[in-house]
Amino acid sequence: MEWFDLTVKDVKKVTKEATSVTLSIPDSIKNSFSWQPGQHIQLELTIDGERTRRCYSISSTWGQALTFTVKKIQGGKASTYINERLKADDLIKVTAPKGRFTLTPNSETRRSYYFFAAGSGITPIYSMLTTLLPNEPDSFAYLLYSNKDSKSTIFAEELVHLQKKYSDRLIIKHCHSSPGWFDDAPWRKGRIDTDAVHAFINECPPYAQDAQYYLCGPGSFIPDLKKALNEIDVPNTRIHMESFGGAKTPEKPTGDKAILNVNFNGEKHQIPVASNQSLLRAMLAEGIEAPYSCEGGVCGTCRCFLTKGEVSMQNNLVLDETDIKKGIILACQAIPQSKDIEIKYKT
Amino acid sequence: MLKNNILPIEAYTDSTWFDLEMRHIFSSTWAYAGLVEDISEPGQFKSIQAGLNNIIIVKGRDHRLRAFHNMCRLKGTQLLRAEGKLQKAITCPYHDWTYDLEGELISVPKMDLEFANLDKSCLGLKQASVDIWRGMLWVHPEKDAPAVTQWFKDVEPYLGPHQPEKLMEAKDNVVIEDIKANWKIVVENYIDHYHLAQLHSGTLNMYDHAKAEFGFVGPHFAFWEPLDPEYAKNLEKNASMPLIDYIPKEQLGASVPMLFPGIGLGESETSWSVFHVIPIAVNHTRVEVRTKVMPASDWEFAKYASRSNKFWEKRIGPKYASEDANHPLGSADFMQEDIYVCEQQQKSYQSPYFELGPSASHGESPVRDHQQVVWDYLKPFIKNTKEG
Ligand code: FES
Ligand SMILES: [Fe+2]
Repeated sequence: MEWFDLTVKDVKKVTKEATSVTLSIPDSIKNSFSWQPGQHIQLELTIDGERTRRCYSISSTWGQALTFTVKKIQGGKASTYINERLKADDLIKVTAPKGRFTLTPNSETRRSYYFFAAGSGITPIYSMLTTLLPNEPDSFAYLLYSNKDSKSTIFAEELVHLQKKYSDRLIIKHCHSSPGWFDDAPWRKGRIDTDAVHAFINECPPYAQDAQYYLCGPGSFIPDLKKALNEIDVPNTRIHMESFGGAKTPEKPTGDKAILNVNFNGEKHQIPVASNQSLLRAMLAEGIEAPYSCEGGVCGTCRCFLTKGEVSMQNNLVLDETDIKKGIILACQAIPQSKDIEIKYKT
Repeated sequence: MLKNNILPIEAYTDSTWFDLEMRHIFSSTWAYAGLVEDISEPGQFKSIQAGLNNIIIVKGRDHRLRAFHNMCRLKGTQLLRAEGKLQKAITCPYHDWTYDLEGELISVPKMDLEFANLDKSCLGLKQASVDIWRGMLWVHPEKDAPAVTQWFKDVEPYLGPHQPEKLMEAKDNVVIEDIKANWKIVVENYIDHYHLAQLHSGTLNMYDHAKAEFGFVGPHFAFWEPLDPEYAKNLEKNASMPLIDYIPKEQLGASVPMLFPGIGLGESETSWSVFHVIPIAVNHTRVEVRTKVMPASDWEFAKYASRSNKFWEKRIGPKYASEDANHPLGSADFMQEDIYVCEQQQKSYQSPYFELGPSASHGESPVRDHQQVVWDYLKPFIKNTKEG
């Protein structure tokens, strides 16, 4: 993975708990930094002497300066640092944008886009929305967005403006889990759950019939919503997902200590995997730069072939039965279930 | 001398031409498939004959419409008929092959016994495209058809400000006519400006034909004419139905486009209608007209009708007062007048003594232009025919 040292051009508070960071991209690396709405970058921060890496989605509009938006997570080292200490002119280490959760507008396409976002899951979707609306004039967008209350809603004001500007093609509805006393009533109280998804689509059926569904949020948000969509006949081919807000896996998976043999970029490695450690984490710890992105079992970037041994996968929203039969696994989710494991990457 | 001779006469009389048109025009463009309200609930479906293709549209619980070719992958048997409601799957009546709402083949009776290594994933229904535009359903036989909005992009600015979704369909008002004439004769009559003041002197005189603006935009025809000044002077009182209340004053009149192929719209101060031209045979065309009006009570409609009665009594009359009211030319109904002349024209086209007359340079220019559009579609497939 190639790291670039970039200068922070601007840091801006967007809510009390969220900050947008704009980077300066020198002309010499412009090409590596061209991006599609929905993609993310990886940051490497050294905070109090300790190195941490994090992925953040780009929140700016296509063609504008690269900006990412970070919500402060309780106890989150990187997010707290960005929200409280990062300032203009600081240097940070960044990778080039990547990710398959993308939306590339086409002026001749006509679609209905449904966006479901929870909390900071709005950031890639905000980039998609603001890029889509001006660049795909025959398409329609429907956003269902959940937050604690209106104060904590990232891009609340910007969304109001967007709604006004594109009133004939954009519908935005909010869910607030604990609406404030003086807030305008949200469309619905509570989080986005199955009922909310179904009610939203019933109330706002697609006008253009080529409908696509984009999900972005933390934890079980994605599997839950995917299930809700499947229940009303939405096929997986139309669902696009990005797991977000940390790859926290609720229950600790159990696994044995194992030895992993991996052939990566022509080099053979033999490395240990700790109990409950994913193959991906084990490789990263040994400095093997295996590909990954969401670390949530959603994007499929980390796919590889299991050629020996057994693993179990916590969360898999990408691979279907035929993939699994072929031995494809998600390294970010794979926990060893036997002592001797071997994987290979397609070159 | 100008003539309407871009197409040869055989184009109107020879079934070889008809077959080519069915294949290369009606089976390869966006086809009108009804009004959005025809499929309002999940599970509801409708099948549409569009040229050679029979296409089913079905709505999922996600309210998205899907379109498939209405053919079972075993023997091509038609899966669904006309209109109805299904549960979760589509089952062929012949051998009970069953498909889900994505068109995937999900069950085959006695599969292991009868078919060795059957790969169900390659035997899904052939997908087509469906979309909604201006309150109408549209289907296209290709799965990745260019957007319907692209197909109508250039003509859209010339259409009326009507919002068909906000109008309601007039009760018992579907008109179906079987016309003994080629579909192009019906279309040419619809877009012919020259005849309006003559044939329809007693029936379409609420518009000012002299001020009509019209012409082709790509394959589609746009036409607009303002209200007749006398009618317009006291419009609220003279209108026979509630006026569509959001039409700006300067746009009051009639927009009468003919979308290709054979989808005429009639967008007026009081109503909005679709005039769907369906070719049945070289000398047989069906026309289905559906009309929408302002949502208002029966009482309101009665009020307008009685209030304007006097005005129309004086104004509307048959082409020939001497004719019986059963005769098209005595009917005082412009559609009957048009059908009559179309059928007469078709008859003459079949006579060995028929010879094309001159073409009116302005009033009949749409006829020549439409012939050109058809010719452009068919040219590559016509052999041994001289180019007009
Ligand atoms: S990194 Fe996204 S699925 Fe593993
Ligand atoms: Fe006419």
